[in-house]
Parts: sequence; structure tokens; C-alpha cells
Amino acid sequence: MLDAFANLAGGFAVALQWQNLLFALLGAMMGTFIGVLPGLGPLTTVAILLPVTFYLEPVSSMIMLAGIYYGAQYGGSTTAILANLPGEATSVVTCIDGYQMARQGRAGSALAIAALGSCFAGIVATLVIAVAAPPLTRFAMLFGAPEYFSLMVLGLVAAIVLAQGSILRALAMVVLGLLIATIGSDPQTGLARVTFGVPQISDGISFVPVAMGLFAVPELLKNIVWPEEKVALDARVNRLWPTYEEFRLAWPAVVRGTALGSILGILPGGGALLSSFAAYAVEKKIARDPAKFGNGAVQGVAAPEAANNAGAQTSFIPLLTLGLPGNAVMAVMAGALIMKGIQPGPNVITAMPELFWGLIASMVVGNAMLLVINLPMIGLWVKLINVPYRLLYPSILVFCCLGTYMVGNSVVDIWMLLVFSALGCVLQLLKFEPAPLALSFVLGIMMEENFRRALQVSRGDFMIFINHPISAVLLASAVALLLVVILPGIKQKRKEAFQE
Amino acid sequence: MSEHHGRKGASWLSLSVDLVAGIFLFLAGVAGLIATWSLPTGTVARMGAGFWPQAVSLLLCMFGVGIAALSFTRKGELFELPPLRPYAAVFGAMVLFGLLFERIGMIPTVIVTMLVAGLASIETRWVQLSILAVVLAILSAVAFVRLLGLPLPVFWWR
Amino acid sequence: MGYRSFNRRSILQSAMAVVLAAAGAIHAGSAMAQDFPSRAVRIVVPYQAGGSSDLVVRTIADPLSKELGVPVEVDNRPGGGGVVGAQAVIGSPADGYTVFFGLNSLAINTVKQNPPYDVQKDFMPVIQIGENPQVLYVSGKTPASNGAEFLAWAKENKGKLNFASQGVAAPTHIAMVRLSSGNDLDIEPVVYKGSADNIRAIIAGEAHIGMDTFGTLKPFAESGEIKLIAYTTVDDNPLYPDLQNLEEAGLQLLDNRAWYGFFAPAGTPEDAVTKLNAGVNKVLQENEAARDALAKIGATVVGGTPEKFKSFVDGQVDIYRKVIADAGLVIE
Repeated sequence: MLDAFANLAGGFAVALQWQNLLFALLGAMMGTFIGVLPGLGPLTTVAILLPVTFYLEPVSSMIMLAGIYYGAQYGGSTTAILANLPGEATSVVTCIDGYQMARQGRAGSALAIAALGSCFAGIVATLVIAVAAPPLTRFAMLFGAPEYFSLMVLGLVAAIVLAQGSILRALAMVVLGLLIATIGSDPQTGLARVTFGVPQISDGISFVPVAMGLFAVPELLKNIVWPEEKVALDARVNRLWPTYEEFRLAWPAVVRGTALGSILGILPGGGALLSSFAAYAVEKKIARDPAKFGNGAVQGVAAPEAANNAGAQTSFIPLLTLGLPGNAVMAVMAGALIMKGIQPGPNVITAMPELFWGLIASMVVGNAMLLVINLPMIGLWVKLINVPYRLLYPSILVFCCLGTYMVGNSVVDIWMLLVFSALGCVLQLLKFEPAPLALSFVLGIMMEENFRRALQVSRGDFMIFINHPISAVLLASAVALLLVVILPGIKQKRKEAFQE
Repeated sequence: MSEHHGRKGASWLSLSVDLVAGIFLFLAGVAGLIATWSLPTGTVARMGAGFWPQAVSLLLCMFGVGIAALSFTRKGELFELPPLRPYAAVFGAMVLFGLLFERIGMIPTVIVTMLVAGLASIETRWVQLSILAVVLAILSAVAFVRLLGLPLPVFWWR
Repeated sequence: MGYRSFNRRSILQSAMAVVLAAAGAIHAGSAMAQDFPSRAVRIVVPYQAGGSSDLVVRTIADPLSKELGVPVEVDNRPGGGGVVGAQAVIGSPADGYTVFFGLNSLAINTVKQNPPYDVQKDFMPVIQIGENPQVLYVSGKTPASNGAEFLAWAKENKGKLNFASQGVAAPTHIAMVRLSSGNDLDIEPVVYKGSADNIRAIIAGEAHIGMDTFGTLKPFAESGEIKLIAYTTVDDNPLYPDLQNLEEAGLQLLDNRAWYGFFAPAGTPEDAVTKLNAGVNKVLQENEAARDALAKIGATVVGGTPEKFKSFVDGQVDIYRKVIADAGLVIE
């Protein structure tokens, strides 16, 4: 323990050097601004700004890239709150209550809670890395294909909890999401499935057009076609800061979210995503008035934001301790290190302690900077969403299109945006909720991959899911959670039936 | 509800929302089955590429039937078609963006897209919107192509 | 009621705005028949930014732009196992300003059941940049350190071993299938999404055997998490002094290596191809950073003429066609 603190102190010495402070600030700023643009999530942002770091020293460039990463993570939440536009998968959950808060004139409050929660989570998660990186890595190693599959199943059940309306409809959305997730190539044979001969979707449909089509565009149209609610909202004064009551409710949610995010973020692949909506589901289940969820419950913003920022930090762990990137953003960071002549590998901590500890310390600094950058901006954002809607919505639409195009430099993504906007509008008219669909879409891809992979490992033996203890526990939890979610609904219906 | 845009949406056939929802799900499942019909299904032990999508499609059909059936047991809202113009404008704008972006470049496309999108709302003030469109187009070009160095076409000759 | 039908004036206003914006931008001068190169050259990389191939290209792009006197941009178009990027290049004008960074997948995709393109018809090789052999590896805990021990161990555990694969159409997958059948080992594939996933799976014990490039594997071998068994060529390679080659290891496996280079769309004028070739050759010979980057991933610099590359690629297509047919693999 003492060792860790000594090293951390050394790390701060590196992080607080003026040039590293500058790079952290620059990175966080650039990441935030670009991440705010719909469609440009952390991955695209980091990839775009990668060349900027070519001329820097390794430690400095890592600090800057890390800043860009969590800056962009935060930027994605901004659009989720202001315009129901999830920048990437992890922001979908923020849309649910964050956007409702904005509609109620509490946008400033939502943005502030998101910023504060993210900062807290980021710093705590960083300390977690400092203290527990190696044991956490070993924990992550225990997760193989069967464990991932079971975790995703649990995640899917949690996705159902997210829905406000009928469970039946939420389940239907989950199933639809799973179906859409099959578009792309078969994970094993690479055989193209339902790709209509379009190679750009042979790797599956990218999440950005799906998210924008399901969330942003229908919302845009809804505000145009039924503007009465908007008129009432514009008249409300937009608060810039949370109330005492909101703080009181939010901070325990932040702590819980941080815990979940820190642990799940280590799991390479979908860990960080799962953590944001697992956090939401937990909050909804333990809240005193769950009816508020979906209508601007502040915990619904605080917990997922904390969770996804904590997850973003701990997702560095596999890269730093093993040298193996846990997700696409980490892979780009690994590439940046390789360019500098550093092979990310198991030796990085011991061979280049100033890199590891300097990076960690700068994460603390960077998260604090995010707060410094973003809190004053809240006033600006609030002014921005009060721009007359007749001017705002074409701008939002154009940025959606631009962001979507830039994902793969291809108009195919625009056609995807069209298709999913159509789907999103249909769902809206039929009173379905998009969140469970979006989540099951993302999870579905990983689920099938891991399901088939597990069967490859076991050479066709289904028992592998039960024989592996972690997997068995996860599956059992999923079943239990499902029952907890469905039974009250059934009980309610029986009560109603009896009363009649 | 839609007085703003004149005539009420067509509530022909007096279909309840739930019923239409169920039908939609059923059709989606059928679409899934059709799309993956040709893929090998395999057996539960050795799943082919088609097994999972086909199973999920079937499940979806069942949900569709279930929800549609439930719609008859209670009084739900009636399904109404919304007015056409805003949807046409927004979708039209996106289609134009897709068709034009690589052909005439970012600045003209952004302008055209914003103007077409403007058709969606009756409150659009064209002068304001046109100015905003030009400004945003130029700002985007500067931000993405100049500052970030992305290889995006700005006009039709570059 | 309903929409105030928008009047002629507002249509005119919008139209004017568009025309003004367009006219306001003065035509800067299109690329007439001027000497190549007279404007930016674009290299399409069919992988995500930051990947190891991308990095190799970027180290070359910078000095290349100095050689050619025009900016050289890198355009990442990931997807479809390289198909998306390839098709982007095939569809672009064959004027020398679009170049494709191609790898083995170009040859493999050509011999699929339903080929998305034909490298021999749709592309013109410009220059081969480098090549490197693959390296066979196992987990650090495996009781085998060289070819002989590996074979013994594999035969002892016949039927229980898996190999980590990057997909049916990946060159390493094809090689592993051959390894399994050629040495009678009965190893089954487990498909993952990339090198990092493969390595992690082998360290964790979910898969047992893998194949990848030396550069990627080096840090893990150094720390002992994995053990390198042999590299997949029959000749001695000075970059890997401590490893056995195929002959020494006694493994029945065809010589196979990862190669990459620049391609132009078919029909590109010879003048452009020659100039590009000369520029890249110069960079490969003289630029320290580029040579360094290649050495770091364990690659040998190749360079050479377009004709040499063309015959090499033709050979690769034939080899893959034969190998895939022999192995009974069906790749769609």
C-alpha cells in the first residue's frame, strides 16, 4: 500500500509538470468539444487526434490521449442530455432521464450532476487502478467466453428493467434488437448474413446511426409535430445548478455507480457499457419512488455517468498491466505507444514506471480539469438549447448527418441512419421504447459471438455454461432478476383481475 | 393534438395502437425469417449461421401475436398517422445529404440539407435559416477539414 | 388551417442562398493534365487508425510527401476484412492519386467462393513494402519450447487443443488448419476478433496455440506469458536468431508470411506508378524512422519494382488457391 502511494507521489511529480498539465488540459478540451458532436464518440475522436500526439514524448502523448478519451466520454453525455442524442452506447442510458430533466428546465442541473459525478468516479477509479491493478487484472482473466455470455444475458435482463412501460413490450424490443444485431457476418465463418450485398455492414451496423435514428431523429420530429410541450418548456427558467434535494439523491447513486463501473470496466469488450445501464437498473430497483425514473430522476443520470466514467478509467488496466487493449480506444492508445517505440506489455509498469504512474496521476488531474472546463460551459449549453427550435433542429440534423458520415467515411452509414430513423419513428408512433432495443442491439452482437465461441471451446458441449462457476452464478442471477422483474407485474395483473 | 398541422391524422380502420404494434412485430419477425431463410440452420448441437437469427425471428413473431391478441382485451388508444410534411422534409434532407455529400462537398450539402429540413416546420424563417446554414457550413468545413485534417470533400472540385 | 403554404418568395430566398454560397467559392482549378503529382495523394488503409498496419503506413507517408512534393494523406476505411477499403479504391479514378495499402487479404479474397474483387484484374501493384514470417506460439505454461517438444505435447493432447484464430479468411487461420492436418494434430479453431484477443485467450488458457507476427508477440514472450516455438519460413531469418525455422522445428507447414505493399487501381498511368514506386523506394532505403518502424515489427524491408511485386502477388494467389483447396476449406 505504502508502495503505491510513494509511486503515486512520483506520478504526480510527472503529471504536474507544466507541459503535462497543458497537454492534459488540451486533450480534455479537444475531447470534450469533439465528443459533443453527435456521432464522434471517444474512438473516432482519439483516432482523429492521434497524429497530434506524434510529436510528443510518450508520457505526454499518453496523457493527452487519455484526456481526449475521457473528455469525449463526457462530451457524449452532453448531447444525450440536451438533445436526446447518445454519442455512443454508454450515453444511451443518460438519455433516458437526462433528456427528461432538460425538458423540465433542469438541463443545467443534469449537466452539473453528470460532470461532478464523472469527476468523482474518475478520481476514485484512478485510485483503484493505482492500488489494485494487478489483482483486478487476474480477476478479468477469469472471464472467458462462457462468462461473457452469461454476463451479457444478465445485462439483457437489466435492459428490461430500464423500460418504463409494459414488460412485454420491453421484451419485444430486446428481441428485435437481437435480431438486428445479427446483421453482419456470422462470427465464426465470416459468412455474410443479411448484408444485402453491402460490404460496409458486413462487420455489423455501426452503433452511431442506430443511436441517432432511434433516439435523436424521432425526438426531433416529435418536437416539430407536437410542439405544445416545447412551448411550455421554453417559458421555464433554466436552472444552472442542482438543488439540495437533487444533490442528496444523487451522491449515493454516484458512489454505487462508481463501484459498478470500476469493476465492470476492467472486462475487455463490453464492460464499460454494461456498467452504465447496470448502474441505472440498480438505482431504479432500490429507489424509493421508481416511478420517477424515465421522468427526470436525478439518480438516473448520476449513477450511469459515474459508472461509465469509472469504466473508462479502469478500461486502461488491461492495457497497462498486460499490454493487451481491452477495447478499440485502448487499441489506438497501444498503437500510439508502439509508434513511440514502447511495446505495451506486461513490463510497462516495471520498465517504465513514470509512464504508468504519471498517467495515473494525470487521470486525477484530468478529471478535475474536466470539471473546470465543463461547469462554466453549462451556462453556455443552457443558452444554446434555448435557441428557437426552428433554427436548432436543422443544425442538430446536419450534425447528426456529418457525425454519422465520419464514422466510416461512407454514405452507407447515412442510409443506415435513414433506415433506423424510420424504424425509430415507427417505434415512437407505436409507443415502443428505444432504449432496450439499442442496448440489446449492442449486447446481442457480443452475446452471439461469445455463445458460439464458448461452444467452439467446449466442442459443442452446452454444459460449459454451467460447469464454469462464474458463468453459472451469472446465469442464475439473470434468471433471478428476470423473476423479480416479471413477478410483481403478474401479481399486479392478478390483483386487478380479482378486483374486477 | 395535431391542430397545428390541420387535418387530424387518418384514423381509418380504427386500429388500436397495440394491434398495429403487434402486427409490426409479427411482420418484422417474418422479414427476419425471409432474410435468413437461405442460411444453414444446423442443429442445436452444431448451429449454422442461420440458427440464431431464425430462432430470434420466430420469437419476435410470437411476441407480435401476443401483443396483438392482448390489444383486444382492453381499450387502448387509436392509431393515428401523423402529418406527412415534417417527416418528408426531415427524411428528404437526410436522403439529400447522403446523395450529395460525396458529390458536391460539405459546404453546399450542409446548406441544402438545412434548408430542406427547414421545410418541416411552419415556423421556419427562411432568411435566418439561410444565414445559419451558410455559417454552419463554413464553420464545419473549417473545423473538420482545416483543423482536424479529415479527408472530406469541401466542394465538388476538392 | 395547416401549413402556411410557403410562398414563392421563401423558395427564391433559399435558392439564392444556395447559389450565393456556391458562387462565392471560386473554382480553384481542377486537376487538368498536369504532371503527376500535382495535388495530394491519398493512401487508403483498410484498418482502423492506430493499428499496426496503419502505423507503418503513417511512418512512410510523412517522408513520402517530402519526396513527392505533395501532401500524402492517410484515409482509414476499416471493415469487411479489408473489403470496404479495397472497394473504395477500385471505385476511385485511376489517376495515381489514390493508393491502397494491401496485404495478404487481397490474395485470399480473390480466391474466395464469391470474391468481392480480383487482385489481378482490379489492382496494379506499385511496390512491396515489407514482409515478415508468422510465429507459432503457445502459453507460457505449456511444457514445450521448441518444435520437437511442441509436436510431442500436441500429439499427447490430441483432440483437446484449440487454436486462437482471427477468422476463417485470415492467413494465420489457413496456416493453422494446414498445421493441424499436415502434422495430424486435430486442433480446432476458436475465433476471436484480433491479435490482442488471441493473445489474451492463450494466456488465460481458453485457447492453446496461436500464430501471429513477431512484433506483436515480443513483449509477451519476453515476460514469459507466452512461448515462441518457431517461425513460418524455411529459410533462416536474421531477425529471429533464437527461434527455429520450419525445417529445424520439423513442422509440416508451408512457408507462409505476411506481406504488404501499395497498390493502385487498374488502369493507373505508368508514369504515376513509376513515380510512386521511386518515391517509396527512396523512403524505404533512406528514411530511418520508416526502417525502424518496420524492424520493430520484425519485418524485412523489400521495396523493388512494380513488376517484381506483381509476379509475387500472382504467385500468392496461386498458392492460396491451392492451399485452401487442399485443406478443404470453404471460404465464402
